[in-house]
Amino acid sequence: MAEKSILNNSNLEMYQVKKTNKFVTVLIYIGLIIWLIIDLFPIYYLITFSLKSNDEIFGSNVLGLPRDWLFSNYSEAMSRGNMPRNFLNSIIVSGATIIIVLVAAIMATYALTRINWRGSKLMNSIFMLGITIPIHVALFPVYSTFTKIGMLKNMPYTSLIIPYAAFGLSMAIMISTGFMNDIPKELDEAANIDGCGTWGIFIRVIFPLMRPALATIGIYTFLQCWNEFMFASIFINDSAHKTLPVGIAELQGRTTTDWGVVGAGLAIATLPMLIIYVFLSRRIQESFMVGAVKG
Amino acid sequence: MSKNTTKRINIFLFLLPALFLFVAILVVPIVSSVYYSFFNFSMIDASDKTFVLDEKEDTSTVVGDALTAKETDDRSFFGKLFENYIELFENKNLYDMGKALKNAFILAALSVFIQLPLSLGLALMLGRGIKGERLYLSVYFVPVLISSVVIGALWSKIYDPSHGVILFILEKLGCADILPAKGLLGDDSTALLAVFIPTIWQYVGYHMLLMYAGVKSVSPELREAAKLDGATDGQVDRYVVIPSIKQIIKVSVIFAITGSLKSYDLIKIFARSKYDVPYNVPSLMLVKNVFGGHGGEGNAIAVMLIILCFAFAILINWIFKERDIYGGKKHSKQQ
Repeated sequence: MAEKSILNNSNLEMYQVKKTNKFVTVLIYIGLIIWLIIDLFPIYYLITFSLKSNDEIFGSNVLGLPRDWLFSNYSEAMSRGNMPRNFLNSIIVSGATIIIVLVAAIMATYALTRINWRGSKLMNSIFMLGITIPIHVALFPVYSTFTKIGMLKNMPYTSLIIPYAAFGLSMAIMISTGFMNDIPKELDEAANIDGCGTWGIFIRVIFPLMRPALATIGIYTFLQCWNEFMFASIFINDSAHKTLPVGIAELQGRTTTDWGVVGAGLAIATLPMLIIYVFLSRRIQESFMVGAVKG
Repeated sequence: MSKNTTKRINIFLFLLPALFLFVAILVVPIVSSVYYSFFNFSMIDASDKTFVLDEKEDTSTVVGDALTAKETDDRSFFGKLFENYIELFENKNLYDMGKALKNAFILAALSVFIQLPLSLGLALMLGRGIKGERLYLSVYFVPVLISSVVIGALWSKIYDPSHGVILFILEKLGCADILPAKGLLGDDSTALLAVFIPTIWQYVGYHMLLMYAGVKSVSPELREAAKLDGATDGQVDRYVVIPSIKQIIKVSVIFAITGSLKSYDLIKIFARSKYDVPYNVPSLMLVKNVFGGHGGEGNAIAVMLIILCFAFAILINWIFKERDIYGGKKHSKQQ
């Protein structure tokens, strides 16, 4: 009798889905919540100290919510640095970079995936090398060339836009290859029969269908250039053209005594991104996934 | 005009914008970096340009014309040719490239062996179908969006030796003594760790997102089949999920290593705070030398960085292929 039940039990177990262990589930939640706290704490600290006076930050109220909400820190940060200008500059540089990257990448992808020619594979892998090449390599040679042709002085925006676009290109081609492969080739053929040439197919058929790719590439490129610091800090020398990361770095370096003002500056630089993220979180996450997963 | 010629012209025109950017900003600079790296040249101050960010650093503008061949006689031809490279390692007072590379490798190793397992763990936990999955995912990703400059400035406040949060917490716990007098960032022995902590904080979400995408793409049937065969959740993760996201783990490893070799922004911001620890990492050394009168050596660092990044990418690809008994060929075909 006893033997039989053991046999039955083991038989049953072989074909029974193991129940998820409650204890493990609790552990998982604890782990996730711990990381959630670690993740949010620095941001919480930033937002609260950006609203405090040094007196509170340094001793009387280090971790709590501000007692007096010093919104004046924010106006102070705005006026002390050149924040509105930096913002505008970052928008100009990122915007132009995105447009150039989109056009160049989609055109190149079209030639690489839709037109049959020997060497298209090789060309594609050469472009892909760009993902691994560190951006630092270009720093000095590009700097010296741009100095010689006077671009750093006369066209400061362009001197950032060109390297940013070049370094965004590889990832953009990779992303758009994935999207373009999903467009059926029959569409090209149909358009061809209807009398469209290569350019006609590209402009009337492919480009409109690449709209989701535009968003993905755009977001990815935007984040890269919005946060770029090395080129921006070295190439731009007049304060009228400095981008946001450079402005922030200067504010932090100059203002060593008023922590609240620095905090406000950091928050001003970060909040717009967070607000966009709240509305577009899925899109933004996808743009990061597509690149790595399809490669 | 024959059809073939038109086709060729079309291909060329479609590739033109991308090719122009690629050649001008990547190919030519690499070639010229290699070239410069074999010469000695110093920058001659040609204008009143100043790097406001770095008052200490040389404020000169580049004049690449002042190339002079190295003039040392006691070395062989190759010794002369590679003098900048040798100098970088041998002249420990001026450059100490060995230390810089060691630091970069430590950062890379920490990223691969601490950051990535942490990301994988989070991705696997989220992938099991937890309540509020999306919320966790979205919050974990937030630091990725914040600029490294902001993160550097924020964490140098957190680390601050006289008013920082870490000091405050340790004081409350009564063990403030374990903190170095100049703070974690200011002490030689802890500086690297202090650089690494914000890096984890910033990028765990990124790697987790990639891995999560992979975990979610494992078909539910596969999971169910494994569980019907009696696998526990842990075993499903170990034997079903992880092997099928190997390619994504590979990408993460490559990004983590090359990212550590390149890391600049965060360390630059830390280095500018008033600490006197020399933050010796290749990218900082590159910028310092290139714009500080040691152009040849600076370019030699750039060349070494490219070689290292490629070498690691190839190595990691090879490691992951070798052990990929059943999936290796299929994956390479897909690309």
